[in-house]
Amino acid sequence: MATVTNWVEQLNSGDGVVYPFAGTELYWLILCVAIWIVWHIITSASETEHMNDLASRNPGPDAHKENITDW
Amino acid sequence: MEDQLGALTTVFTEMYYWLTVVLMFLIHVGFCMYEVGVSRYKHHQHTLMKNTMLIPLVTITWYFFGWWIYSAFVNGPYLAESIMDGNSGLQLGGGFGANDMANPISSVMAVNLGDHINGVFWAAFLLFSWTAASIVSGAVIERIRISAFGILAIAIGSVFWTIDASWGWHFDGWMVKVLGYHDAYASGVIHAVCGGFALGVLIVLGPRIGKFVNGNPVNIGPRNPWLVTLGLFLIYTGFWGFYAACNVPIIDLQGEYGLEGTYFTATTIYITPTTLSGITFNFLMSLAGGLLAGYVVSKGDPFWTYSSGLAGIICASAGNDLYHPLQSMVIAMVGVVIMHRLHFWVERRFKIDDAVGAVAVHGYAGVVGLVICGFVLWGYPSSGYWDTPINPVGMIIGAIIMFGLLGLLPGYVIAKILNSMGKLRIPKEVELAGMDFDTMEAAKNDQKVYAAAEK
Repeated sequence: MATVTNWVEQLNSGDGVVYPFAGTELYWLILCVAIWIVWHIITSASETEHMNDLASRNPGPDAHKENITDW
Repeated sequence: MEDQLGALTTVFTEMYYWLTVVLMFLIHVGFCMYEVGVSRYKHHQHTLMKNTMLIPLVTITWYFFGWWIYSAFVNGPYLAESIMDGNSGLQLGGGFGANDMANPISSVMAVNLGDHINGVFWAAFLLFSWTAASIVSGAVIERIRISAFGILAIAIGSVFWTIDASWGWHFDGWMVKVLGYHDAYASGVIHAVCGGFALGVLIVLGPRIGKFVNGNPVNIGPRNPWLVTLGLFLIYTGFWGFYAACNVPIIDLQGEYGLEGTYFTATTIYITPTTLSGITFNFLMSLAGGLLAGYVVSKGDPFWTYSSGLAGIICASAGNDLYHPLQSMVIAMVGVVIMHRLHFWVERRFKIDDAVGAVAVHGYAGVVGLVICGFVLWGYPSSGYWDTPINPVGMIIGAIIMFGLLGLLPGYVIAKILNSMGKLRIPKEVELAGMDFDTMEAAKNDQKVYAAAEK
């Protein structure tokens, strides 16, 4: 829902809040904090899986030299 | 903005901080180049991603709670009374309290036509927070998990440096009022605390494989000196923006101090007068002093000479709002000599592998700068609001709080917790193979497919 529907009325009111859905800030905060925490969980699990996989293959300290591209 | 002069002052201040943020972005570009230049080929991309991902993580947590902590903890709590309203607990009101300025659900933490300062001020501090995390990032390259570093970055970038800034880098901070702490351009509140935090993490993390052979340190790197050079020059450049951001560009002290007439001036973050002209002298003279000393003590080693330029500025920063430029130069040189010797002594004695010298350049140089400031500025008032003088004892206690209490201790404890969960360090096999092994292998396979298609 638009917080501002008429700029003249808005500016005359002296109210500086212009972003949409004013009054719902707490819900947005809860959503964003949840996204942040879930991001950590997902990336940590993904990283562990990748590290364990690479460690089990154990390519050795010089194997990466075979993977240096020509381009 | 009721008259033209008021409007110009407000918009100028808004634009001033906005530009400092853009300039300070170069610090992060520099850190990325610098770390990649130091790291080995098989770790490049992970090194870059580690330093890149701290940007979103510190940014959102700085919005969620970091900025709030800065305003809320000025009294300790319960270590001093606020000059705003006499409160000694968490400072939530009083005009500049946490809920006035920094509550993430407040309308001033958004586009608000009635506020032109909060967002740019928030951003300037946020860029300091990125720098805080980036300082730690360089020290731990090639063996830390990115997920672990993300948590450490949030801890230093959005919690611990924020607390120390609230205590010692705020016009109402208890350390300024009680100890006479003075740290105009953040020798302690950014650099010493981050150096200490990095050391705490390094103690638990341990050295890179092959760093110590038969107990003796082996010099690893830098792999790309040119990238390191560009990186450090960009950090110098961004540091200009940092110095500018540490000031209030224009304020009338008549209303603040009850002067008889108007007195427009630039001030430090403590609302003590200085001039942008003066700090320009001191920034450049301390850079020059650091480079000169670094060239001598490192016998012309480029890596340490460039780092010493940075360390020189860091060492003089606590008092660069008031020092004479020649004093800045000498103080920078003293700081560089001490931090360089201390780095190699700690490395050899305690087997600490600080890959980029971050603990030395930021931590030791910052601590030395605080102690020197206590003597050179002994007797100066720490503020115009009260009479507590700057003094050596207060500055030494301040240095211990910054480096030890809010830096080394939490860095060590959080790293210990992560390590006990098996989440701190990458497996030995991955460290040897290189964290980029799979990415490189995929690129090579793509090249083979492409080459086959060409035939």
